[in-house]
Amino acid sequence: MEELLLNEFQLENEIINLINSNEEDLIIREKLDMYHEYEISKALLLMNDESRKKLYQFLPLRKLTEVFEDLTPEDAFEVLKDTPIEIVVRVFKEMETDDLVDIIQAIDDKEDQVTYLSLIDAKKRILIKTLIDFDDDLVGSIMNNDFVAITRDLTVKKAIKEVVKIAPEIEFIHNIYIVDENKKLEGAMSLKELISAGYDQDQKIEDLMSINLIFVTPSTPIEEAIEIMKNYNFLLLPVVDKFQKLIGIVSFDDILEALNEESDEDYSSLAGLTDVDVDENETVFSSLKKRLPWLVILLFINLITSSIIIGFEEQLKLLPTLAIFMPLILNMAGNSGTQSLGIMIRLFATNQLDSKKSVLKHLLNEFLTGLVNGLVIAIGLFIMVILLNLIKGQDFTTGLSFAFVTALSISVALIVATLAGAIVPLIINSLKIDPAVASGPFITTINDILSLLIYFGLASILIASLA
Amino acid sequence: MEELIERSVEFTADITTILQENINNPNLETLLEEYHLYDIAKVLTDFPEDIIKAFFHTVSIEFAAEIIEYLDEDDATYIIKVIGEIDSAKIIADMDLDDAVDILKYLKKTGMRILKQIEPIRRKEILQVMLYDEDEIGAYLTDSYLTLQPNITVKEAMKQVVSNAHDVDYISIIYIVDKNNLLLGFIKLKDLIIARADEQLSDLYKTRFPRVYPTDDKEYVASLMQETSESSIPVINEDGKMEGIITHDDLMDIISLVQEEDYTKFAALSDVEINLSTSNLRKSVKSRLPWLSILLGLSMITSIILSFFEANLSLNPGSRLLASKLAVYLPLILAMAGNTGTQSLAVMIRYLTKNLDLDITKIKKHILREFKTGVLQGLIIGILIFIMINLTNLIIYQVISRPNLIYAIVTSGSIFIALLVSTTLGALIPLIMTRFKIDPAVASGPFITTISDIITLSIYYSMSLLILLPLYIN
Repeated sequence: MEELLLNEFQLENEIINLINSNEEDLIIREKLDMYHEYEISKALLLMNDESRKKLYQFLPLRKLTEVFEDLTPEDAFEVLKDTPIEIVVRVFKEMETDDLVDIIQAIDDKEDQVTYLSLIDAKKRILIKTLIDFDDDLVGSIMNNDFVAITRDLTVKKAIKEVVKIAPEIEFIHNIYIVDENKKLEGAMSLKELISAGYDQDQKIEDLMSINLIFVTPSTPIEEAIEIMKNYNFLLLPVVDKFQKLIGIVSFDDILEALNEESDEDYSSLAGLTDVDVDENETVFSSLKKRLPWLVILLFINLITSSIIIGFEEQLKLLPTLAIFMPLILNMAGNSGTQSLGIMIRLFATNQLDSKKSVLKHLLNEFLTGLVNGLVIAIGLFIMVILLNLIKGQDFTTGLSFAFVTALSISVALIVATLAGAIVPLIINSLKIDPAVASGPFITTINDILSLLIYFGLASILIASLA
Repeated sequence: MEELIERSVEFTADITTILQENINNPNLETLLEEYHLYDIAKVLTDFPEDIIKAFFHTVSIEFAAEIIEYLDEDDATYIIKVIGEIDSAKIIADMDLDDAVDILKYLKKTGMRILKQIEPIRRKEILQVMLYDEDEIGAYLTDSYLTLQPNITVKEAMKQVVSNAHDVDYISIIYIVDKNNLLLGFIKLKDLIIARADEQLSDLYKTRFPRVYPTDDKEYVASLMQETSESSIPVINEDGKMEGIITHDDLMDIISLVQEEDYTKFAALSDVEINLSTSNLRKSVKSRLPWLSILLGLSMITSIILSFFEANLSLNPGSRLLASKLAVYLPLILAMAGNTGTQSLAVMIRYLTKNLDLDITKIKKHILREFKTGVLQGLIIGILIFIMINLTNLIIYQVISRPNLIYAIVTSGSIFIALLVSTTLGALIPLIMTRFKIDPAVASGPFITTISDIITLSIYYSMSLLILLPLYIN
């Protein structure tokens, strides 16, 4: 693997040297064509302005655009900022809509954003504007209009000719879509089917195409598109409007990016952050901004635990051993709460909690899980407390009743915490508060409060009975 | 979306009718041609055993193999049980290598028996893929793709593609190999069909592109494919000979699998399938209890440490007062330190998943940033706590006494140090784990909380014993 990485780095240097070499232009062009655009994009980042200018001259527009598409939107913008306007315009014209959307969105400065938006031709611009407004969770935000569409009356021969004509412009031509004169989606076939039909070139497309179509709309949640593409092993998924007019496609690489983002969201909610993704040039300030607000809120909620303990100060003075197991019980309750929250976040993300019945079933399952876990952990703790007491040489009978209290507390705390991990997000969700609020740290804090009450409550009963 | 469900219900109904009426019709395959294999596979599993049996008698082995490729392991196992091991062997032999291996592995002993029924050449190929570890990309190898020799014209190449396209699953990228199967390059089908017929293939194909070894880590290959945005990547052996390819659908499977695994580990769950319809008590206890037991053991350290401190704190009424005062802010300090630790851990784990090449300077920069974030967070939270403690004392006692002021300083000072240490640890622990070749995803939120509990508690109590205890005894 290291060897492979080393090789890649060599390729980038090779590209830079090639561009600056004294060879004939034609030869440079030809040699450049041998490199994958991904490699060239990496080299582009390492180049100085002069080499970039040369590179822009050597690369055909299609390839140059692909190079920009392979950069992260932020990097792409950085490079485009120093690129002559006429090249930007041409690249934008050639670029896939979804990549353009990403780049436009990556521009922080509003004024710059408008400037660059104006460099895009009118038709695409309207589409991009609507896409930018789109919710990040919907197919509309990742679709592009890079597809091959033909009509049903063509013969295989003509269809292949048509595909050959469009192909240079298109990134993935795995599937060919068949539309009527109003662009209404009527059928689909794979390029493989078209190619293998090549032996009989007079066959009509309408006899070959598949009419049972799987498609989505721009307002379909990305999560559903992911499921469909996974189940059907699709490389491309057509997107239609409400009149079943073909307006775009989702390709597998966009879906993969969406998968990453979705996973980021899950992590953010479990860890209590606004955004888990780090940028290489992120400043301390921006990382503080993501975390500190949560921490301050949590600090105030945590003060509740302190005031509870103040209320139980007398018991603590009588039985100082009480404090010894406090962190353990709180921690274990927090852990089981995090576990059930972890499941809950995924259930929400995959829309599995749509009916009352499934919610109740899940809650019952959580309760029983808490019960079993609580019992087993309680037995473990009971044994440990007794052992610890024996080592410390304390009186066995008091030790026994104390062990009993801690064990009972932890089992009740675990049941409550497991349930709370599932119920609190449900309540927050039904109150239409941002579900991100139900983060791991938040649930842990709630569980801290609940388990403290359980632990100290049970301990007071013990102390009262001892006295 | 509702429309989609409607249509899919419609497909299901159509397929059901076709199956019911034509189960012994030799033209069954043609009748089903219009429908997607995934839908057919789904419908089929709901039929009674005799219909399933009849179905597999009627359709060709190729069709049967493709249907089974679309089933999950449980359903595939059921089908194989219904149609018997001998017939299954024929079908599995015709399946995609990686899918065949998945099922055979899942079937364990039955799988081994079926494997023995498969003809030797194919068996050897299956065995080879079977021997790769789950984490190695070799386990996802597909051999259903097209290769061409370099010294032909575009016309000849197209002729070969047209006549072979039907027999393979993946043709979007065609690989160029020499007589000894040495991988020379690739050409996209799209580029081939737009090329002029008299051009030489050797002038067209690309020679510079990423390729991987079967023993490469699947996560590494997945991110490489994602970066290149190609729908397949070739796998070669040490001699540069082509072993197979990894395709886009494998990529999707790998990525969602890896992410699901990492995420559930982060929540301290293991082997959990988040699916309401298949979840039950046994599975959910099994995925949680092992972690909880380990964490209980780790947590016990906090109790042991505390009991040592407690021994020093129960000497006289003054120290007992201090002990109860320390307990008041203990959960708060622990919770805050745990929270920051979880935050920086999550950031680090995501960073490690997304970045292939661990650049030391970048990592150092990141750790330094985490450290600075920890300092600032510690300062701000520490100051807030300091103000709060003094306010509370002012309200209760009307005056801030010297011991109480020092108590506030020690508590907020401990929070400051605890936050700083936890934030840095959250970023460091996954890195240390990577260094020791442990999957960093094992460092879950609960794990980091427990570690940070132990450290924070030690900081808080040792500072208190050192500075506060003398004040309270007198």
